[in-house]
Amino acid sequence: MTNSQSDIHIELAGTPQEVRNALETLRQKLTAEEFAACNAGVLELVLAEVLNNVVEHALAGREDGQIVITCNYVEQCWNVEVRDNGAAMPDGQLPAGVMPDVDGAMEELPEGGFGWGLVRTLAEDIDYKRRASGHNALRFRVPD
Amino acid sequence: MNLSSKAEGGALVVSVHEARIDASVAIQFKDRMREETENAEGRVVLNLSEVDFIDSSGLGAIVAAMKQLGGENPLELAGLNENVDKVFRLTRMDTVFRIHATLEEAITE
Repeated sequence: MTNSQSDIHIELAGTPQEVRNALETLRQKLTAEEFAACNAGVLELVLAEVLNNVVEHALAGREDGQIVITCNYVEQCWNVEVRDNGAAMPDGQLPAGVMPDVDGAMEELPEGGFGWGLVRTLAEDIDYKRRASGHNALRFRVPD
Repeated sequence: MNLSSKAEGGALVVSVHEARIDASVAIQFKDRMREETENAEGRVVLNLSEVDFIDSSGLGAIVAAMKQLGGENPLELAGLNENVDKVFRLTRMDTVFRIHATLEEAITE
């Protein structure tokens, strides 16, 4: 598949501001007529969590971080790939994505650790590969 | 980060005049919340009716704001749109915060 055949193709550098800009671009593309009925809010949330994770961990402390997102809408489902040139996932494994416990006392409440729990709740068929080229490739589907 | 606050119906209402609370502004949000609620007495209602999107970093910043306020000034939420509400439900943070459907409902009790 070449880039020009993707429904949505966005490239960004690895910073929180670039993530915000990319998601705003995504939102504009999703409100275009052909995708108006698709599951835009969920796709945006899953991508936000994946991209934040890449920026905070895989690309932490690097200034040459590059991320490429492609999304294709096929049979009521978004097929998404996110590639980056950052460090591999620890042990080559995706995070377990267990939601933190919120039942404790207020001062004990978690302020983070929800990202991969949200991804695992909302996305399907999540597949991670470390490429020989030194890239991470994460694929998943977001059903409508 | 554009926040404003005013006392209404026995609560301090803090309104967020931003479309997004995400990882790029989470720290600013926490700082601005601290400034706006410095003199809070009683409950604080966070009006999210202009907010269209939060991610888990934004959620974490709202939790941090609640913890900063402590038990004397409970932080309640109002005006969550569908996307924002979903983040609270999926993380079960909807069981932690008192959530009002509208700002009117939050201040008329």
